[in-house]
Amino acid sequence: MAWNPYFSLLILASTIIDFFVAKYMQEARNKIQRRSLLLLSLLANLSLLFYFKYTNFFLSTFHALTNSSESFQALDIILPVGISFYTFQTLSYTIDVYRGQKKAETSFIKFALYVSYFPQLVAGPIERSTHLLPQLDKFEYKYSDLIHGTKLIIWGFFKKLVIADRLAIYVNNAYGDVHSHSALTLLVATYFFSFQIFCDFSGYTDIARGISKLFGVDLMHNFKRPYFAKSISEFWKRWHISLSTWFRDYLYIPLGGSRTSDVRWFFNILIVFLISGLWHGANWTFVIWGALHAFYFKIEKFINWLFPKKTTHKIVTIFKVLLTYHLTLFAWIFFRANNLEHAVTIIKKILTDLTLSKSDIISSSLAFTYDNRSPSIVLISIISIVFLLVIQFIQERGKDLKITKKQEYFFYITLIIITIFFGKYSENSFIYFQF
Amino acid sequence: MQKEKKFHLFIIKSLFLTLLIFTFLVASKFYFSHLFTSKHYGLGVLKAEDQIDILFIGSSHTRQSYDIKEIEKSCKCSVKAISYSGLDPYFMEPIIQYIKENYNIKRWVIEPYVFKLIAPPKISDSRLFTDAPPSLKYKILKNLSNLNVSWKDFFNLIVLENNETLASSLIMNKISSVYSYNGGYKNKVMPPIDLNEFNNSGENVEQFYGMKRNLLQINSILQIKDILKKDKVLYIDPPMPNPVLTHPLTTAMILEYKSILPQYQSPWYRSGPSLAPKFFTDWNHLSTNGRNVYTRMIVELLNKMSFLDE
Repeated sequence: MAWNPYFSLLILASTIIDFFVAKYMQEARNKIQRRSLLLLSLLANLSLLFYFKYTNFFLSTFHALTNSSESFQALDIILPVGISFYTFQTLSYTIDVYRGQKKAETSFIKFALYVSYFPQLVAGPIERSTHLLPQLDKFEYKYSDLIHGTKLIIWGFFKKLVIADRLAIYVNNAYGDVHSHSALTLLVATYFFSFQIFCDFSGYTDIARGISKLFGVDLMHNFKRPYFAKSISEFWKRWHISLSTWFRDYLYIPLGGSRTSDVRWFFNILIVFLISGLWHGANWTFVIWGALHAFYFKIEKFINWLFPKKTTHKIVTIFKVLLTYHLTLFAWIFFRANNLEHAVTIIKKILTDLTLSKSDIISSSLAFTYDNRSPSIVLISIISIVFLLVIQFIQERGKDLKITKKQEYFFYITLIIITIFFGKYSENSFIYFQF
Repeated sequence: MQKEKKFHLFIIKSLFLTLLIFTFLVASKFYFSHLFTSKHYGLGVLKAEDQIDILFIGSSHTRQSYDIKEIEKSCKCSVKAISYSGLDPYFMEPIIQYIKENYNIKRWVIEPYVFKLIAPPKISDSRLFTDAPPSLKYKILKNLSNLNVSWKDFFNLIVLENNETLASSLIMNKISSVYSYNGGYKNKVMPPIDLNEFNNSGENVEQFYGMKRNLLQINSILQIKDILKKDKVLYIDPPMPNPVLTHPLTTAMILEYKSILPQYQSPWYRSGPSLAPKFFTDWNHLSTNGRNVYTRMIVELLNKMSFLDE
């Protein structure tokens, strides 16, 4: 992942191709012409994405299958920033025009702004043309938008700097050397990673949405308290919503969706999640992560068939939330591990070596800085996670907190102060920048 | 336009309020942080009424190399250690000056670390600043201003560093007794170094190649010598793995150190821990096993030198 001025030609090429493809598609007289133009757009966008993101992955896999004795020499290909996001965004536009759900944009400048809209260019949310393009007609200042945007930015920075970047230190230490860390340290690191990735990505989204809001432009929600999901299907309605709905609308439903046989349905789900895994990164760990989620869907469907009666009892709900969280937690191991061998080592260690002895607890509490500052950082990390969960729990219940505007104002001032004093100002970029 | 103006006013007011709270908190941290740091580690181990029989001062070596409880038991005296990772003589000097002026110390064991003769000074362990009372903080900042440090480094040190420790001090002060005793490590298991790593440990010395003698560090060593000229002092470094110790640059450094500090001791370099990988956890720190052996050796040395005699 990198930035080089020449890579702006890629986004320009993608913009020009899709602008004219959509224009001619609308003017096309028959379906064959329209379909050929769509194919051109798909080929142009996906081949660029494939070349930059997957060439080395497929070459190394082919090399491993055919010639394992020599080491693989990777090609020097740099992944341009944001390519996975803007490729999907432009594709959604041409597909929408092809389907007749959207009229082709007549202004090239406006379309170029849609593709390269800076708050969400590098890591989403992946906007739909039907949602974003109409808003780009005029930028309007509204006092309420300015306030709302500022609140989102403050909240986003808190999540990124105070929670995600602090947890990243522990997670990087533990996952960077899985063989020498204890099972307890690896388990704690996995829990921490689940919150690191959430706060990192949703923090970015909040900042992007907040900045956009300052211009009066509304970007879509990307997260809705995913760790409060009661099932895997619900989790995917709450996690990276812009990507999951993209896959739903442009892959899952065209494949036949759920209105088909069980076998075919599972095949559709598996395809969607394998591609979703690969979208995240050219590594088998992401493929396994995707496959695991597909299997979770299958198991969920089986359980729903086994127990068709739905209960809303509190204990059952808590159990479901915890189970869903732990299933996603297990999958995160593959998502974060450097390779499959590391992922397997982590799981093996947690399943076979986990003890809660005094020395294990001490050593796992030292994995931040390896000195006596570390336990206090663990404590602050846990407090900030609990704070986040409490806020989300209140939002989840949907009950009005009945706080005055003044109290809300001081809450955000406190959040700024906490972020200044407890933020980690390392050079950690956002995790999703690498995708 | 009216809405924009209202928003800008709102932002200015908020920034002013944030700045006010920020200034108050930074000033509070500067003047009171030392009251909230650990009482089992670093400068926090010193108590006004204490008479300390032996005070060790040094870097992470000091923390990891001595079993303070064991030394106390053997010497039947009070022993404490003040250690900050990578502590340079340049920053050790104001600490020693401050302790000398404010506490009653009978004997000093100072670990200057030979490579510090050439390493440029810096604050490797920010706890040094957080643990320091305001008067010592001023001295540290004065020393720091003589170095080529950016405003960002000052900001980090004064504003950002160790806020977690301070915010959780009520709980952490109790918990830190599990890890530390009178400034030394307790209950910390340091596994032995890998044999390959041990054999190649001499390569680590190469990071010091090309560095010139650092006048600030040398001057501080001489200052320390001067401050403690009427006190019972032992200048010493813990053992090093044999490949590090026998490296020509190390040998040259030791000789040079001895020319500046004739009292500098290195009697175990030809025997004991320096020979076996099991005594080291990395290229310059002792393992748990090494610490146990070395603690016994230092007690023997102190007895032999009549260092403990009144």
